[in-house]
Amino acid sequence: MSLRVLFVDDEPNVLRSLARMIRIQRLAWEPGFAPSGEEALAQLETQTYDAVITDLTMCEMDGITLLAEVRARWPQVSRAVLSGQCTVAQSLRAAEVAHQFLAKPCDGALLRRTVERLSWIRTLGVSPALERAAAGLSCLPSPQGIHAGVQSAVAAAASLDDVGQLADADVALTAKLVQLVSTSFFTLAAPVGSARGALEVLGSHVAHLVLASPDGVRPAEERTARPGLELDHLCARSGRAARMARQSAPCELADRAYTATLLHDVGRLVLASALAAGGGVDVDPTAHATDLAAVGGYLLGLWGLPDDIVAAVTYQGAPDAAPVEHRALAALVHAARACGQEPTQACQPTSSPAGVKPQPCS
Amino acid sequence: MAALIETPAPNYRILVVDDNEDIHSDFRRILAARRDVSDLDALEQILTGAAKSPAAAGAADIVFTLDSAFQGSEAIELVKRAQGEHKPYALAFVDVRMPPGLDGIETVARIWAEAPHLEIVLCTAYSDYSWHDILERLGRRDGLVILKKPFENIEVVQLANALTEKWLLKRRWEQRVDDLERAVQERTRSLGEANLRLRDEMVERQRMIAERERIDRELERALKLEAVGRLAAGVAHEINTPTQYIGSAVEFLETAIKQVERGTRALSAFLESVAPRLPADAALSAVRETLAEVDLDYVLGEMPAAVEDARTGVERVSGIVRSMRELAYPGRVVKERVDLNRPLRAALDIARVEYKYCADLDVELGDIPVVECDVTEMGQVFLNLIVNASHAMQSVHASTGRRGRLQVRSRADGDHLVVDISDTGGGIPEGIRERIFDSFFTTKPFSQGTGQGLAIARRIVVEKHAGTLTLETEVGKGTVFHVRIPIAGAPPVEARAAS
Repeated sequence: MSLRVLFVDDEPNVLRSLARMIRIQRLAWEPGFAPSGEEALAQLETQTYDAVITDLTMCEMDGITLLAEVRARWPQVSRAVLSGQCTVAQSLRAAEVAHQFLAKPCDGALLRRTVERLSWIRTLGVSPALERAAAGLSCLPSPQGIHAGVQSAVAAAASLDDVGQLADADVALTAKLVQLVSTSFFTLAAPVGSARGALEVLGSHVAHLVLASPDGVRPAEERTARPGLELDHLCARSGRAARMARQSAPCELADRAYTATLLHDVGRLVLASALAAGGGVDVDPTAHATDLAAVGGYLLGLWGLPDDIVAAVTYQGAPDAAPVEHRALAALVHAARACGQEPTQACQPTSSPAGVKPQPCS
Repeated sequence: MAALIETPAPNYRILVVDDNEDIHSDFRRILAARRDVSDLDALEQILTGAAKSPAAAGAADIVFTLDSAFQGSEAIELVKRAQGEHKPYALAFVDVRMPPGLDGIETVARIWAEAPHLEIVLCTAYSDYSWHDILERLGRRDGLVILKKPFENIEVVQLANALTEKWLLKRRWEQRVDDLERAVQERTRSLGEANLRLRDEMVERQRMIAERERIDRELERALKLEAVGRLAAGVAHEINTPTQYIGSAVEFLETAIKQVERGTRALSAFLESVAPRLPADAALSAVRETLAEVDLDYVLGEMPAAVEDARTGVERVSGIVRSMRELAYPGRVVKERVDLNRPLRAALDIARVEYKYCADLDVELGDIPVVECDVTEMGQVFLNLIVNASHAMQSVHASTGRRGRLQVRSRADGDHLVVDISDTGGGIPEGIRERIFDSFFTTKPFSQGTGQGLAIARRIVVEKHAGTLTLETEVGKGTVFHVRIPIAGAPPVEARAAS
């Protein structure tokens, strides 16, 4: 499936060089080019695009204004930034409206991987309504208790270790933090697979700013509580399953298994958010587990999280369908997610999934 | 203090020294009949109309106390005793001839040795000694009067009155002089103290001025750094955008030249295959000439390498910009937990031009835990140490042509992180090892260094991160600096002050 990408930059050389590169490498994209935010909006009104990749600092309309407009009018469109440099304040604002941040200079390989992943998640079969719901989110809801804990930790300028402990137990925070370091919002993209690792990459200064921002973390609203979507339960269940996954995973996969399992129900959070937003969003509250897994993978892919985590969440119900290099992780999530259901029940996987041998970690 | 010292009291104790018993009786008679003397004084006052000095005015109350000595040695004993009892004599009448003992002159000499203030009246009937001889023998002229025998009563009375008065005035004068002397000493001492205080204050003031200047310089430096940081961020943006399209253009060319090559080779193969069958004509030879002229094989052969070079250049530029951003990040002002290998790599990247011509790089960055630190400042420490090491090796390279080795290691050592930066430069001579951490100490030419580098590095490591910065150096072999900082970060200032 060829992705329709609109590149926006007020430097014509950037657009021309991208056009040449895409054309000569015979990339299966349908690129569009706009020299300004206004021109980009004009094109979006007349043509369909799957993604917008824009510069931040532009003469008239800046990239953040453009992306906010895109989110409001075409929420299903993926939004990414391709920028040379910006301040922490600009990065924070970009993190509200953009799914991913590519740092200039961005080589063709990274651009290809990014666009190809966006193409791929569109093949997961997520319903347009859930796609729109997922793409419109800047963050997911955290249980109120955890949210309050994080806010007071930030207010008290708590150490990253303390904040990390809270974040490690929360689905929404983990997803958000890993998103911010998976592409170059604040630092160079880092292949980090845990909330704590992400906090360390961000550093305490930026981490506190992100956590204090209402678009970095927000509390669940009462009306999101629907059967199967109670946040406190969901987080507790995911946390138990994640710990189980870490124990049964081989050392080198332990952290990723933890994070992927913690995030395996992220689709339910998307659904909960969509239902809470109510109004024009037409989502089916009885979405099938497979659909929820897919929308979870879709969101994480949109946010640029590491491919293995995206694949493991997506294929948690059928690990054999995952790309071969991610099958082991998907199998770990598959086995562990059952363990979260009953806290009292001692749950050990009877056999290691997909031939993965648990090793005691040193 | 001066007030505590008693004002000398009048003293009417008189010693008469004569071997003749009658003389003693005469003195007693004369000086006891002082009522006459008082009347005489009163008469004189009436006649002259002049008021007498208070001491003299009180003369009516004067009671002379007379002691007698018949021999010089006896006189000396009496004087000694009187001195010892703090009841000195004011005046002594001394006969010159007192056989068989000491004569008067010798007696006076010895008396004065005991009581130098004693007023002496030498009584003599003979001119045994000339005035000159007497002065010669006694060595002083004050406090000495000669009374010729036989003497008039009034002479004795006047002498007794005048000399006891003189004694008193002299004591009082001495007292005043003493007081003055003491006052002067006191004043001198307090002036001296004030002077010392003033000098201390001036030293302190100079120290404060120097401290103030140091702080000003540091502030200026910090502002400059901040400005450089902001500039770096701005420059980064300006550089990153062109780098973006240079990079994209290079990627385009990379594929483009392969296609051009394919197309060209196909064409020329076709040309070679059909040429033998074609009649020799001008068009064909023009094509052949052009192909020979453009040196096609060389161009096609070199194009991929040229593009590869361009790509390396683009990567290098973006790497440097990234490192600049890493080390001069204007938004970062706080300590945070970071992987120290990051600023270390960035510093190596930025300082590359300093060492790449004179030394080979040997880097071993360990798998180290994150540490609480100010990443910008630690980057500056590493940058300073790497640039210093590079300069040391540049000197060796310039004089011997020998390439050096810049070794950089990071490792965990217990609860500390250690970064070792070692060079194979000339080492630091013993004479200056003590001073290398001083502000503004430098051996480099003006343009190369301000002498602040190591001082700043030490301050950052020791004061801000509770670490240590040490070195080992050997002249002719090189130097290694060890940066050690606690993994847990510097304890709060209060905790450090307490320990």
